[in-house]
Amino acid sequence: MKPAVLASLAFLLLVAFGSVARADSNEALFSEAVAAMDRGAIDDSIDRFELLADRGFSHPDASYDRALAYVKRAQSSRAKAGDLGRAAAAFSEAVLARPNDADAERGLDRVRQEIVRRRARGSAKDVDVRPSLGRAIIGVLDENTWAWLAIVGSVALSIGLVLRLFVASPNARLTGAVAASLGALVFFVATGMTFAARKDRLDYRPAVVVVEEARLLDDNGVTINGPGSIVPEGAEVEVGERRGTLAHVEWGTLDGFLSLGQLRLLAVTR
Amino acid sequence: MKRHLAVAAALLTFSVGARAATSVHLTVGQDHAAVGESFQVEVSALSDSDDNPTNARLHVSPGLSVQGPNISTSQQISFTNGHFERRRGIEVTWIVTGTKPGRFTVGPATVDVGNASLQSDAVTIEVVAGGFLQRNRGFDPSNPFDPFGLLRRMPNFPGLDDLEAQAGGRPSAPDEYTAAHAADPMAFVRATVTPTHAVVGQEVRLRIYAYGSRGPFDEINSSEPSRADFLSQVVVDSSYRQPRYVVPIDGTDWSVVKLREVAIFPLHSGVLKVGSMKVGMRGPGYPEDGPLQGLVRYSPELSVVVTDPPLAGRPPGYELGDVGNFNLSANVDPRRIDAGDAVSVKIRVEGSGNLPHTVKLPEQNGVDWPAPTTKEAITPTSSAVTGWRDFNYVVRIENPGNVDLGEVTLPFYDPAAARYRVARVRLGNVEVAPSQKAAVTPNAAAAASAAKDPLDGLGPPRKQLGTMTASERHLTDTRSFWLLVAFGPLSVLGLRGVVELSRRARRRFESRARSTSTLVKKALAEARTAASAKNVGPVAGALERAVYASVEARLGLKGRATLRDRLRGELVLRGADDELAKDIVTVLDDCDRLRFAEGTGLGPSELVTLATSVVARLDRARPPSRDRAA
Repeated sequence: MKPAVLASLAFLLLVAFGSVARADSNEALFSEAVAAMDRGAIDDSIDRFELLADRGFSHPDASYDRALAYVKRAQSSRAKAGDLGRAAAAFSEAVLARPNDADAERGLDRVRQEIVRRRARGSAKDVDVRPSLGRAIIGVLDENTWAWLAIVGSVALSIGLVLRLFVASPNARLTGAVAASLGALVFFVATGMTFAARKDRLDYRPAVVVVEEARLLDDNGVTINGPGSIVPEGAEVEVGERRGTLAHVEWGTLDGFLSLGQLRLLAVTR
Repeated sequence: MKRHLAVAAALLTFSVGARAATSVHLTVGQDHAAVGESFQVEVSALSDSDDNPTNARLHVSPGLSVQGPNISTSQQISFTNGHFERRRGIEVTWIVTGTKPGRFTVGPATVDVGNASLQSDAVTIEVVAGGFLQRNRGFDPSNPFDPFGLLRRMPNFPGLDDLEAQAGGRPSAPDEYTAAHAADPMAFVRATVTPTHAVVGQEVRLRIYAYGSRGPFDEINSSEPSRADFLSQVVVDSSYRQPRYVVPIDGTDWSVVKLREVAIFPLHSGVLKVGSMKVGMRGPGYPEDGPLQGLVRYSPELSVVVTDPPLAGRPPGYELGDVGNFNLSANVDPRRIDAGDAVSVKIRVEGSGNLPHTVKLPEQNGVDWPAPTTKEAITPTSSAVTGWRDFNYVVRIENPGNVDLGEVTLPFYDPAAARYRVARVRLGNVEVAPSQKAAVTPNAAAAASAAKDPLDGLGPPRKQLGTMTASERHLTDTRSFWLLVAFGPLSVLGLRGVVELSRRARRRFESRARSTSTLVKKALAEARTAASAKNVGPVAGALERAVYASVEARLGLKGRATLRDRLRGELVLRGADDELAKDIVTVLDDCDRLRFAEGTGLGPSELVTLATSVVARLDRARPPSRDRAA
């Protein structure tokens, strides 16, 4: 066998074994983290879950357990500021990865309620706010649903144009005009929404505030004053543009800059 | 290197009258000097009485010359044993210069307080022949309260730097002071960072030097370089006590001094900036840019490329920023307790670099590690920031038995070895006897608190990784979606466009078919066909049509409506040359002959050839100008 072929085979084997070893390592690390939590070594458990996240390993069960670890530490005498925010972030990550995970949703609700209770001011709306109008309209339908509507509009518009432009019969031409008008309306609205939903998905990333309070900054890095300028722990924001250590965030109808250190970016599949 | 050896010469305390609490200190900046080298002598006289010290005098041995004094008032307030103590007095400074080698006595200094005179002790200084003794300056010219800074500005007051220059000694400068080129012919500021590529938390040295080509200078009115993205430990905070050197740059001798040295630790990754430092340079040869500004120069902005430590090999619990080289030690006391009691655990992190703020504790059920108290000692040296940090825990152990406290770990990144390391220390075992106290059992306490805690009841952790939901595929991520959406309407509109274009092309083709040139060509073709068939009648008719149509199209003359006798002249008037006009008339005449008197003119084929030539020449004929037509 030629040396080049042998070298290629060796490389392929290395790559294959490397990826298997890495997968094993991630699962082993997950097991170690769960075992540490069982024996009460919460910090150790969190360290291992965080290392998994640093490696880019994203799994709803790992996120769920990480959230539990942070909740346990928040309940202990070794609680650290931001533990509940990090728990909320991990629960959110689990829900994003597995939307029908009822336990994770319940955990997220409870953590947010606890954050509000501990803040002892305001209401639950402080953490969970309404999205902006644009985001609400885009969010009426799923991105794929908008995409299918765009296809339907495209087909209707095409048929209408054929009837209107190529058929001599007055009835067919009238039918074509109506179909083309309705199809054009659906086509342009749905295509626009599809484009906006896609841009939102690609340009923005969900994140959760992991400090007790995060003050929004303006373009010049100056603190914004006034109602709603403080984003509470556990609040989910959308992160867009980044400038050094600052990230532009949208929180409901408000927007501004927050330090990346105040946020936990959620692992999401794009 | 300059030395600043403070010789506290005397503290004289008097127990009666105005002298009851008056002290006189004499301080000399050095204990050696070269002949011609000046040094300062300071006397501080403070009294807590109402009488201020006055009339300061300094006695020196022959062989020393004295200049000055410069006198300023001084006040000292201290809080002792619950009450304030205020002392007032004077600070007196002289410049003393050795004029010959030998050991000389400086002092005592004498001041008058009320009706009495008080003296300080005297000190001895050795003056050596020739050479330059490196020393600390001992005064700060940028300080308005520093008498020497003022004395240097006095007319005819000898500059110390001039004396240094006269002495001629020149200590060699360390390599770090060397500059490849001068950025300015008179003065410039150089800044360096080492290393220029680092990981988050790694120590980087920022050094800033000032260079002057016109002799020694002093730093005045400086501003600090901005470094918002770094944690800082200042090593050199002023050039005041820094040695001055002379270094050759581009063939010229430059005075150089280190202005700042700071150990900086990057806080995050990216290309991080260190701002420029504004420096005022003041000296006899340096023009001032403004009052009390000195000659202003700026250090260049610097950047450090900072990355996160590698993910490969990163141990669990590594905290970003823990970079350096550390060791752990621990002490546990006592080793025997009752259940529910606590032991003291002291953990010391020691080493160089960015000292970590946390260590990884061996938590376990029944052992409670509350937040520690910390103590630290950090010393920036010329090579690295070193020190220690103590974490003191009061660890409560609930369960009886021989409890192994486990191992404390500290993962860190060692930039020198470019790999992660984990410092470890075992805490050993603690004998925990069953508690004699009647206490609420932990389970009961936990149950009591559980009812109140809304976070309880979230369920146990998941032991296994479940199946992952396949991530949703987005139609819009495929290019075919956008093609599909756009294809229908665009293809219909495109088809309609194609149909319309073809219709227009057909119309244009038909229109073209009806055009004059087409008619002419068609007529000539018919004539050729008829000529071939020896059918003379159609030949004549076709050629007449071709020629008349060409004449009308090219010259605007309706030939059929013009008498044949006048046709040639009309053609010439319309722009045809005479030869062409003649040929046109010939063709038309021969057509008549061909039609009515066969055999008297050109044959059909020749006539077709001539007519074709006429038509071709008519195509090249220019229409008549307006004047000519008129």
